[in-house]
Amino acid sequence: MNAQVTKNYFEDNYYTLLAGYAAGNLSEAESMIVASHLTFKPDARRLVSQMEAIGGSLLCHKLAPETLSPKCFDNVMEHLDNGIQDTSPANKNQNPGDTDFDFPVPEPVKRYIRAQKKALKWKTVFKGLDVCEIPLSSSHKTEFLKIAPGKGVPAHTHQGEEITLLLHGAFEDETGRYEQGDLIIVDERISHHPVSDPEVGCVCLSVTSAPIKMTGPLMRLLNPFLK
Amino acid sequence: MLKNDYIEKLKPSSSFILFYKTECEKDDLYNASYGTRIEDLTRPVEDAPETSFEDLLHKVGASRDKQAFISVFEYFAPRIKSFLMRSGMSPDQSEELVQETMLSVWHKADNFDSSKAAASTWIYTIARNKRIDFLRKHSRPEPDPNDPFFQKSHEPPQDENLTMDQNAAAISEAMKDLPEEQVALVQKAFFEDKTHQDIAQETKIPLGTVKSRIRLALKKLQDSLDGVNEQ
Repeated sequence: MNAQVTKNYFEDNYYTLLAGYAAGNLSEAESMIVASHLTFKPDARRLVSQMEAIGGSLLCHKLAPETLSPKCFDNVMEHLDNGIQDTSPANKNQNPGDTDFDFPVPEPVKRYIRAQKKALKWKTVFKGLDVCEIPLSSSHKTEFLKIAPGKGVPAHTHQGEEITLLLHGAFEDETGRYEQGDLIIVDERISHHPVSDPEVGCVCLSVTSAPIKMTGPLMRLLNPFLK
Repeated sequence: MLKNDYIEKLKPSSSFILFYKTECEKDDLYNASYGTRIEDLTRPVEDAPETSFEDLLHKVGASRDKQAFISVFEYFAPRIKSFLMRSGMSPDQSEELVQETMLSVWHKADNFDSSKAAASTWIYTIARNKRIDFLRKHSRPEPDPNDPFFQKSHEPPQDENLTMDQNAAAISEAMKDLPEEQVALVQKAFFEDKTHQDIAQETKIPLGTVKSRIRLALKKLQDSLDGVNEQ
């Protein structure tokens, strides 16, 4: 474990990630993994509700109110008697992709898998480590990692942030043992070497901030040179 | 239709509405009377009505009480606009979302449960979700209580309706005791659409320190809740 990592490292990362979720400032991939963690952990849900209460309190007492144009009030009053207009983006559930897995997949992840046009594909990185990417956003890489019993991921550091959620089994690294529902957040300040449980192995969901990828029609041509 | 017409229709009874109407009748105070920028933020819940927002929301939910809704609107709409503008939206876009938020408040008020959240928390989360829908064009991933993997809480359900209300008050009290720079950091984290890396760069404070300070400030605010819940 690196020297500059203080004892509060994990708590800081955890708190600020949950605060980002409560504040609505996370990317879609990060929000999804946090929502999955909350599925397993009632205490974490309680923490998030408290942070939302802090948001509500800041809203009331720390923001100077902005003057509204008169039409803002009028428009609202005119629409009160109309039915509910749900303007939130529809969840695309039309494509019931394969959501049968031999490990627990919480609903916030399943929602995205259902929206995929193509079936997900597993790849073997080396014997004992299989990965399956869920294409979800350009700023983050989201994937399942399946680690065979007693196998490890080679020691690695992180360029950005790596958030890992234990879905099944357990793993251990220099910092401790992690089980179902646990969330581990590491960034460039740390290097670690996770090894899965010798009996059951483990399956994780991982979200890593990846280098920016050009997606425009012309810029895409540049990608081979950027690698 | 002008605001005064609504108020006529609603047969004003509370002193708040009467005050409001008088203000409107004085020259052109129409704008000034709702949502004037108030610089003195140390004033206690300025322009808040006497009835609690929780009670007002219950009235909206139970009997579609427009007068109660107007009181909620008066207080929260200008603040929601402020919240949205801080996260980088234009005044026009902000007002669009203020309208959507307030309409959701009206339509969803019968789901409001004051044993689960204070009115301010509930309205804040609606505005926040509207902002996510708008900026990110996706709806916010949330845990699903019907998910077979959803672990139910073992804590006894809150039986005191007042608790969440008191929680909000406790947080506001505790906020006064926080050093200004910590409040500023928490505000940045909540209201400006920024990652912690962005905040670190902007404030020239190392990322680890930014995260530590945000955690410490949040922890202090949360500790104030333990005091309430143990009483």
